[in-house]
Amino acid sequence: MGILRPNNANASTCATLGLALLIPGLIGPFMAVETMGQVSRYSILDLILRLSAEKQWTLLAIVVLFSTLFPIIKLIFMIVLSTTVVPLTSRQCHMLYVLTEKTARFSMVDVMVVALMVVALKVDGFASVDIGWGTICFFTSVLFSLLAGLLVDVNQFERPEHGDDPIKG
Amino acid sequence: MNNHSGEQTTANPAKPQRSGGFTPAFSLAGILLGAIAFATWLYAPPSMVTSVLLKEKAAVTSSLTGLQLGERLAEGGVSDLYLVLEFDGENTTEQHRTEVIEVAALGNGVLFDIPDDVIALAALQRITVYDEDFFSDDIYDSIDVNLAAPYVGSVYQFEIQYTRPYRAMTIGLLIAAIAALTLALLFFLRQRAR
Repeated sequence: MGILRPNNANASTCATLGLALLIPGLIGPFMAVETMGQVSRYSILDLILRLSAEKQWTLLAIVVLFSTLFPIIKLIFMIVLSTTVVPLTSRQCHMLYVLTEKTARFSMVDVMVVALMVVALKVDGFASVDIGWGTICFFTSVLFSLLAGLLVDVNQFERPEHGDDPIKG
Repeated sequence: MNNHSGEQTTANPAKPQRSGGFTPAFSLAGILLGAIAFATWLYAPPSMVTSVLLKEKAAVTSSLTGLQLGERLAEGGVSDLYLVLEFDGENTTEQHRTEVIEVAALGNGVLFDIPDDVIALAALQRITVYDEDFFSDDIYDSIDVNLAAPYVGSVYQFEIQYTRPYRAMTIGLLIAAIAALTLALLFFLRQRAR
């Protein structure tokens, strides 16, 4: 498919849109929990603040790192990689690409979205869970992030081989 | 000085500049819309309380506790409820008393209307529920509005409804500003693509 052909302009667009949607995804209502007529709406930011207030440091670190920091870092790295905004050498680009790939593996946003979907569909009876617009933003951000990863043109910053090396060539 | 292997930057000067003209236009539009949104929010009149919805507290035991049940039994299950709203006046704390509503069962709530030019939401301090009685009125519940919502008392739950002047316009302008700035960033980055 032509549209999925590696293209750094499209990759930067997807990464920017992913980043733009991630922010409302983090602060917007993620889910609404109704328990005995009482509706409580939570965002990821609320969750982080609540964990911080309750001094649940381990859980806080997991949520902040894997659901907030890594996705943001991945998208920023994607933008840096696919554009010349930050002047990087081929070697630095390659290192950044490897780092992005590694952080993307630890980024749990997609897993979290799927888990939330399961909760939203399965829990019923005493309490009911509905997804909020924050979840939709978050989910779309994940899709754009995945798409950006697919569209990055690695050939533009591959480490120079024998022929490309200005010294050897 | 010779470049070391792999140390050259990866910018491609031969690539055509794309969508360059859109960036300043969208940036300007975004900044302008953001400024208008900020001014709208800043100069919007204060939110005024329009009504208070009184509902059953969402708990199994709430409808079976204390004075409420005793009063209902004594008066054949009917209460003459009214609210007293305390709010900051010019110098002292003022009070506003709502009309009395005869309540047999709360159902999904009883709405007490308040004239929308009397109490600013920021000035509201306390809401107290009274049952009108021939000798002396009984206090059924009371909540401090300075604490965070939801306003759940010992018997009832309160929902304060208030005006939100220019809210829709401010949100619309803000969304448009953010969208324009995002587009500006998007075109700028596309122009700088490797």
